[in-house]
Amino acid sequence: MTRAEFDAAIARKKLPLTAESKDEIFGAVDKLEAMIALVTKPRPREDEPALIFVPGSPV
Amino acid sequence: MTPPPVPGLAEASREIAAGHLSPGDLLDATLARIQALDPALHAFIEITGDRARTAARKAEQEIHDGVARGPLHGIPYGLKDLYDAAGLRTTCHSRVLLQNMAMTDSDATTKLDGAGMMLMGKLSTHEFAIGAPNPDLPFPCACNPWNVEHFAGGSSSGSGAAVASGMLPLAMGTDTGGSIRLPAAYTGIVGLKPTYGRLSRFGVVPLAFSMDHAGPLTRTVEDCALAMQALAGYDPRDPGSADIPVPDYLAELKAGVKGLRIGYARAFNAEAGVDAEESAALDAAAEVLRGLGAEVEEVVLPSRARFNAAGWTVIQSESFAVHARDLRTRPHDYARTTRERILLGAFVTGQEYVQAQRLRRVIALEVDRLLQDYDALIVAPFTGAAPKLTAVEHTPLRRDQPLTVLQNVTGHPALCQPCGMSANGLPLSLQLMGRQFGEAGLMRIAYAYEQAAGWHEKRPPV
Repeated sequence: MTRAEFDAAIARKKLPLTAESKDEIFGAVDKLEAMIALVTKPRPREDEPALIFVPGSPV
Repeated sequence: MTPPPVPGLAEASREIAAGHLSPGDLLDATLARIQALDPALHAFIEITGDRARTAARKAEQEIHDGVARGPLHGIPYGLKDLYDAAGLRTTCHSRVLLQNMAMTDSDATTKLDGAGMMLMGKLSTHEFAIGAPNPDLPFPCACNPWNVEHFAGGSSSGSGAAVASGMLPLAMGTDTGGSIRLPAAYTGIVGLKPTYGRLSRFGVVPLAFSMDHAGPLTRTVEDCALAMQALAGYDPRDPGSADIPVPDYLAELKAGVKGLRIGYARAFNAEAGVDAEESAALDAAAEVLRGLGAEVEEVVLPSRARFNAAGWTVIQSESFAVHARDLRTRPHDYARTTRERILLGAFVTGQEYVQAQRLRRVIALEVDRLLQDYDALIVAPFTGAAPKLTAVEHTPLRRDQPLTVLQNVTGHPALCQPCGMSANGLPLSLQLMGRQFGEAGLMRIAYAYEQAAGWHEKRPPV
């Protein structure tokens, strides 16, 4: 995410941030995106999300 | 002279039952200990002495009249300040909720009060269970009783400090990524994150709905079992609560580990950067269990990068959903670290959240398959003993994320207990992870280890 894209996203989400907080959060966005990349690989259709836990079929 | 530590649950229970200790005397001893130590440890946000005095009088009368409420009758406890207790503020250690008066009790409050316990107060936490020990909070942060310059762990930091220092025999915590187990580990006590659904979260301020757990912090495993017996059970007011019978947690506590199979995730130590002292303590704990007759074998966990990614993507997204309105309307009532950590969730899309939940299910099934062959797993809870408070990270997305989020991702129960001391005099910790709703088996193994190793007898120098 570029800084311009980040600033646009902040404005769209109506988040009233100080310049200092924007810098701090922007500094973490790359790490967030790298982390999220690990969860977004395509999965088989039958892979359902974890929502509830039931014994024997725990999630 | 500093008043002595208050007895643990089992010990106090035996003393009260034998008529050697009255709830009123125990209350006095507890208040004296709190007044002596808390000005330096900052475990309490609010001390509820009057409320506890009323409960003590009631307990004494009931005991005199032969009204038995069980083994916790007349014993003090504390609540992390995320739990509601009617008539008290639930602040979450935040300016956002400074005036938030609870109108009803959390399920834990109801059950512990119903067991005849005396609520001593509300305990400090990281703000909304996700912040850090910042100076810009409305209350001071709890310190580690082993060394007040060191971190008490989080987010149930006051709960850990209060129990470890002998101010309380039981404190309730919450755990979304390790927040019961890490304070227990850093302060050298027992902390249990039960299976998702085992303890009701009704009346507990949420951080991330599908990852949040309630659970006890105690000094010993037997105390943990006593607390769980009072706390566990279905609650239709908690949509995540499981309608599953509660076993007798004390029935098999002392049955030993002979013949049990325990997996040791030893390779995880290197993958996670666990230091030499903690690794050696875990190796030694595995040997103790082997010596007690358990079969201990090395096992491989799902990769840390995967479970961290699934867990933190979910936590970021769900916590932003909880806080979005307040973050838009009153952002400066949050401490900076808390605000920035939660705001990062604004950058997780719906698709990413769902993908994280799908991966989460895959990981949970992988761990379930592993636990078909083993009664429990040994998994490092942290990379090493408590860091200095000045070294605690305040970044929006921590470089060193806790090792403990795996069990929040999968829902499996996990218990931390002391297993050694670092060279600089701070506790090391063993984490045992069990089968879904297998808390009884988990505590059985933990009890056998505790009694053989004896680390629970070490006390902080306060």
